Amino acid sequence: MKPDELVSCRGVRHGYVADSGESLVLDDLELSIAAGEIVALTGPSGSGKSTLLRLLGCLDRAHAGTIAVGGVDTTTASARRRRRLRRDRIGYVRQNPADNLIDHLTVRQHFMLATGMGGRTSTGPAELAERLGVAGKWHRRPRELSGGEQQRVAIGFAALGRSDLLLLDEPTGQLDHAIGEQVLDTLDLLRDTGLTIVVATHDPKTARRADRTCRLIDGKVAA
Amino acid sequence: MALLDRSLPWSKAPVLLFRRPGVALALAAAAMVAVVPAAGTPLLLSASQSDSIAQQIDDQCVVPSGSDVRFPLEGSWQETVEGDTVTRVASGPSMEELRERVAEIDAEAAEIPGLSPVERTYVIGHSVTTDSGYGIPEIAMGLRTDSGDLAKVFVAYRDGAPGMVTQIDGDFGPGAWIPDDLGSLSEAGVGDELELAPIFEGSPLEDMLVPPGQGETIPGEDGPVTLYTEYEDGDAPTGVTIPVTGEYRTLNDSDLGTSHWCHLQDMLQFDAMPEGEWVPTVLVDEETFWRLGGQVEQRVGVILTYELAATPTVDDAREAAAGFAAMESALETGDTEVTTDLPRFVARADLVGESLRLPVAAVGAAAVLVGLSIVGGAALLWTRRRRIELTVLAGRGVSPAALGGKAALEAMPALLLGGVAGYLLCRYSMPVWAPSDLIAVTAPRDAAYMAAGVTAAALLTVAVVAARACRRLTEPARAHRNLSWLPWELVPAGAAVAAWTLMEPVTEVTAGEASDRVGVVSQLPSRVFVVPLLAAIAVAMLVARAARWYWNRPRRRDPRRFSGFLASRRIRRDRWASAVMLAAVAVPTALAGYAITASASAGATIDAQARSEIGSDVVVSFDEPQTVPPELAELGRVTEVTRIDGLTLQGTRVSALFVDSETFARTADTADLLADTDVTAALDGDTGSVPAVAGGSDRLQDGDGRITLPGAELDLTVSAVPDLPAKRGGMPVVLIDREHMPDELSRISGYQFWVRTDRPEAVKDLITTEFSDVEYRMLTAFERYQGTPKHSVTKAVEYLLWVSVLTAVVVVVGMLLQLESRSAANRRAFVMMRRMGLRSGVHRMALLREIGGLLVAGVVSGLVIAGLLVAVMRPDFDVDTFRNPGVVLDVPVESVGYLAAVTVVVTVAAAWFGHARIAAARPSEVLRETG
Repeated sequence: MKPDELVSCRGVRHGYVADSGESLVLDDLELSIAAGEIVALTGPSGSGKSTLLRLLGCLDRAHAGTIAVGGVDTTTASARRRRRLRRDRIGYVRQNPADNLIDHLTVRQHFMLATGMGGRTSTGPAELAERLGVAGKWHRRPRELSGGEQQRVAIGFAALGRSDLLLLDEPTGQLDHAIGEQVLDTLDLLRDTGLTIVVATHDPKTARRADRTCRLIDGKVAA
Repeated sequence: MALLDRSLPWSKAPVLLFRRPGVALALAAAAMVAVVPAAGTPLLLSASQSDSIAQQIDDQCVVPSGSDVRFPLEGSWQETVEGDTVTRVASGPSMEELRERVAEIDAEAAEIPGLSPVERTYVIGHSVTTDSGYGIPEIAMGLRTDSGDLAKVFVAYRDGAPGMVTQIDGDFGPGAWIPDDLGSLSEAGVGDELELAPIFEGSPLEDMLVPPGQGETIPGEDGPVTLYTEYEDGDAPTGVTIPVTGEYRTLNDSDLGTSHWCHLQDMLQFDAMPEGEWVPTVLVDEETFWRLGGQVEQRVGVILTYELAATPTVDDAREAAAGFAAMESALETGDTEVTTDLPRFVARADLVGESLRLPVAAVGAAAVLVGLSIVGGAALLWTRRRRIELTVLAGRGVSPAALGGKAALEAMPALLLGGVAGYLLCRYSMPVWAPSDLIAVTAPRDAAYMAAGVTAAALLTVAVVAARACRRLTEPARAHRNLSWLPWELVPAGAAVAAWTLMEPVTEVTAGEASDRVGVVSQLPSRVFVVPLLAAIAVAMLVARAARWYWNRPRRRDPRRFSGFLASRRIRRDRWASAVMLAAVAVPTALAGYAITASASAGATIDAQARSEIGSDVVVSFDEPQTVPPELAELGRVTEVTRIDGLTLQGTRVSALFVDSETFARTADTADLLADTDVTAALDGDTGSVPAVAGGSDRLQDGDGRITLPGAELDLTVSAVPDLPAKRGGMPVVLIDREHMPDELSRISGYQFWVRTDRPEAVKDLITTEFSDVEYRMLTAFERYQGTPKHSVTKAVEYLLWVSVLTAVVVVVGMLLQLESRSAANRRAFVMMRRMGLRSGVHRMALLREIGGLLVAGVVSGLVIAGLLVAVMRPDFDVDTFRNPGVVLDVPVESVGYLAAVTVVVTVAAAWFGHARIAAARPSEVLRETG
């Protein structure tokens, strides 16, 4: 692993078992992400973007190969080690904003929960809420927020307390253009806090906001 | 502060579940039904023991529930010597002497809790022997008869005596109360006077009774002395004339007398041996008694009866028995005897408890496991329902154990509510299901401990199941851990086979030395409970596996109707849950059907054996021929039988029954005893000699035989059958048509009515009323074994039935839980389908088919399993294989009908409920749902 390399994927293979047999999604994937980068993962539907994000986020284990995050081999690490990574270093945001939030907690409680659970944070919850434009919704619950507000809260919730990596799966997929731009603006904010950001998207505008684009084809990163 | 922030999902957990009241209620119900059998086990065992104590105390003879203390009182001799003159002053027993003794005994009795005030009985005229074997020759009291002689009578005083006899005449004031049978000795009646005088004739003391003032020279140590005898004032033996103020039914001729005085039959020769000498008992008031009993030479037998103030629990009885034992040790007087049946009652109650322990525990444990499995299912459904929150928290590094703890915290209020409700339901519904609502003080405490333990187990179950399910959120399920393909059914099936093989079909429970004193307790073999439990689980698992296999198969063709398509898809979508639900319906249905059949069959078998033993449902026996009351024919079928015991046929001692061949066969209980013989045809045969049917001994053969009756002989043509009812003392029975009965017979054992009826209690009441002035003996099949085998035998099986019913309720609750867990997805689907034109009626029908399909399949499977279980276990339903007939199978057809009706109602209600919940959702909210 290189000195400034945060994420390293070597020979990653992963698939899903269906009634018709195993379907290989990632096939000898090789990928390297430096700390502080914003990387966009693009590719057609079914190319493995979301699968790769789940593997990077320690939400699943690759069937073969090695995935290292911050020097930790997540494919062979114990469940406890992987939980610590998720708690302190890796955040994950799903496409559907509602799937990222807990329905009975307010915005404030989400941010406080993230602060209490996570590791070091360079930005306080109130400040982050202000920067994300959701400070006025401090005591609202998710169902009282718009889609864009939900997604921004979800991003803030995922980022707070995490030190290294933030993974976003189609963050603007269910949002209109204007709201989507607001969400993308938050990525720049978060990069300033030192996070490395990986975004899976098939939206070209989102991809243009990234430092680098990696296109997945046939389970590999296209050269 | 960070801790508070971090714990928000847990600190709020206890109130979160109540946002979904349906889920909360379902969890509470599951917990309640898991707790009920656990709490019920100690309550049932205690109640059964209390019931045994009460049954023994309430036996026909009112044996004192506490103790009798008996001792004799006799007078004393005081001697003074002056020179060559010796003066003896004789005094009889006195009330003062009695009061001293009673005070001493009362002081000891006061140490025993729960006793009623002492009841005193004094008797003159009976020898009282004690354990020391010291017997006093009998000195009797005599009644001056009409002929002037003195006839022996017992004279007795008893506290409350007028209320213990059937009063015929008089006000029962101070004086003598005479039995109505006294007429054979004296014509005296109420208003007349009786003379009662001591009988000395033949007494060894007769010669000692020297008239006062008359000296007698006897040898002394220093030479002859003159002996004078004097009597204390009022104590001289003399006759006493007493007014007759009451007349009562002779004690052994009335139920009241029989019940209150039977325990004194050793004192009063109360119908103990009818052929013995009958001595009348003259009852008197206390003052009159001491005029007689205080005379010199009288020996008064004193009985102090200490009853228990209330029916005791077995622990109370044990304590009282120990108290009486201590009393006996403390008194330490050779002529005082303390007797109590309490140790025997307690030992038998302990035996009853022991006989029930295993079956009740097995049933309770199985029911608790079923309840906990439903709770576990609820935990799985909870993880599905809360998937989003759990995924978010798992994504933040929260461990599965912590998520399991969150599940337990959310479920805790509902489970606690269910646990408390279950305990209260079990405790205060005892009058409905328990044999007695009298229980030991420790029983509710033990039940509360059990309830608390099961509630804690339910919490743990929720936590563990939820934690395991949450592991799958972030860690993949490893293929080699999926062991569902293994034939797990073999585990309970193997255990069932092992239980069947290893558990002996023992129907009698004894307990070491206790068996010598208290006999045995009949009980269905333990394997009657254990084997069906295990087998039902095994078969239900097999049914569930078969269902999953069936649902896994690719369908060639989808159902034509959309409601069927929708129902089929929903069932197949979650095959595991559907299969579990199917099995969960089948198991309690099977056990309930089996329990009802086993209980009814065991009881029917005992009833049939009782009927076979006595002849029919009710058999009344008279010493003289009687006319059948017309009202009796309205209560059932009646046939008249004339019985003669102690005869000989073909070299075998037999009893002959002269019967009406037209009515006997349909009134007598001959089921299973006759093989294929038609009794009516056999008795009507025309063979030259008298046709007869004989049964009950291998020595009786088809062919000719001569029977010698008291005063006649009959040549018989005998048709031998395996057995006949109404055998006495094991002697075989010979049936002969009464038209062949000789007119003059010197001895008849009984003129009998045999009654076949569904209303034996009404028949009993009618006989009691119509023949109140006639001596008779009545036997009823339903009372034959009351309080003994039948009662205890069916108790445990009925417990299984109740538990099965409650488990079925749990299953229905589980089904509602399942519906509730799917309601979010179903709501979204329904909203979408409505927009595509789905009608509410179609959706309602789909729910009906989904729920009804599982319920009906489960119920049908359960009934089939129940049938198999009954077929296998049938021989064990007979607790007394030595009696005929064998097992009488009583299949509860009505219950199956009720079950079908309940299934339909539950299906319709659940479908209506599910559709109402789904259809009430607003599309805008549904589509924004965060889960």
